[in-house]
Amino acid sequence: MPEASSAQFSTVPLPTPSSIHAHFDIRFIEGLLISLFFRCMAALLNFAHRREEGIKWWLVFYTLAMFSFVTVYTGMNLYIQSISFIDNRQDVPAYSPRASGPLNYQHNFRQTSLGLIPNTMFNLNNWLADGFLVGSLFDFAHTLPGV
Amino acid sequence: MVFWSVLCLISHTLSRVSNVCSTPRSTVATLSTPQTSGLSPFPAACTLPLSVCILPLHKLATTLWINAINIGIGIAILSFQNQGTDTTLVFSSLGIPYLTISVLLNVLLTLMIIIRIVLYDRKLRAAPRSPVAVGISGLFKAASTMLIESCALFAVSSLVVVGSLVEAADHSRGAVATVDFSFPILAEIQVRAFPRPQYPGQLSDVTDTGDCSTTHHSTSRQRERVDERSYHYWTHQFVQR
Repeated sequence: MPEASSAQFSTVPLPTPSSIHAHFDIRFIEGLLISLFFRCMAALLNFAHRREEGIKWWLVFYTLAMFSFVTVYTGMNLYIQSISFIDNRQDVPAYSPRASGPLNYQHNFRQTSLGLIPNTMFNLNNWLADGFLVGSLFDFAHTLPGV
Repeated sequence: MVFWSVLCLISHTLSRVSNVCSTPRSTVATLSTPQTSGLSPFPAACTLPLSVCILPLHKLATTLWINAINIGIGIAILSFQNQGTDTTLVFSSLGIPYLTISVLLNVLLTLMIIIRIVLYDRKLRAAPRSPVAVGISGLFKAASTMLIESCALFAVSSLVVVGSLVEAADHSRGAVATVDFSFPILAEIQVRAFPRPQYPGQLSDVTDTGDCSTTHHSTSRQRERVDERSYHYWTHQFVQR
């Protein structure tokens, strides 16, 4: 029923409680991520375990970059959710065909840094994660020759 | 084959891009009347990943091609958003193939690594004086750990986002809300690829610590010992986690 849902969407703004539940989930996973990051950095910077090969600084900076990207993305996304779904949940569109509500408010700043930076961080994080997996495969193929 | 596949991909992506660009701005920006835009996410969602499947998936260089295609689609998404195209429209037309190809790449890479582990295990078992220390259960544990860690988490969360994006093309409220809260979760699951605490070194690292100086000038016995140590290095690393 696309017509009915569109009509409903254009008149009724999104409810706030779903956004708040999403915030709890995101903060929970962000906590897991922070603990994982510090465990990983402690292992990477451990001199006792890496006496022979030394600290691989590119891995340290790679981890730091991925953590920075995803933290910036999460922080800005939480801020966007907060200002659009709570502060401006009944935003009035500039002209009549547009839908009212938080999505209209998000649509207004899509070309600003607030709209562009989170998506850029998401893409950079995805490229770093995929690139690390591709690099691991090539490393693996080099370590096990002839397979 | 690879050339024609990539050419097909580029032409298809360009046609999608021109289709998005030629859509009138007023209808693109209209959230309440998405049917008038004339864009459906399903062709791009189906044809781009299927076009990638034409590539020879068993070769290592294919992963680089798929990664490059994924990066190109991501740049296109950012470019369209910077030009002011409706975010929901861009994500439903280009975001679906972007995430689908990313999932395909992750599944492909994970399967490639697991197949190499299994082949190496069979090779070592067939060799005389084979030190089978890990065993079938250890191999299964290593493979299942890799499947869950590298592939399953990201695939499941990405499929949730892709399904929500398909529904969000019709601007249904629930689907848009699902996209809103599942995208950050997907971004945080992406960093499951944090470099492992015991990152495996190159074969030269393994040989430098022992009595085998180089791989090229080693005897067959030395090469066998290097293979054993390399095997233990990888399998124990996955089993002990």
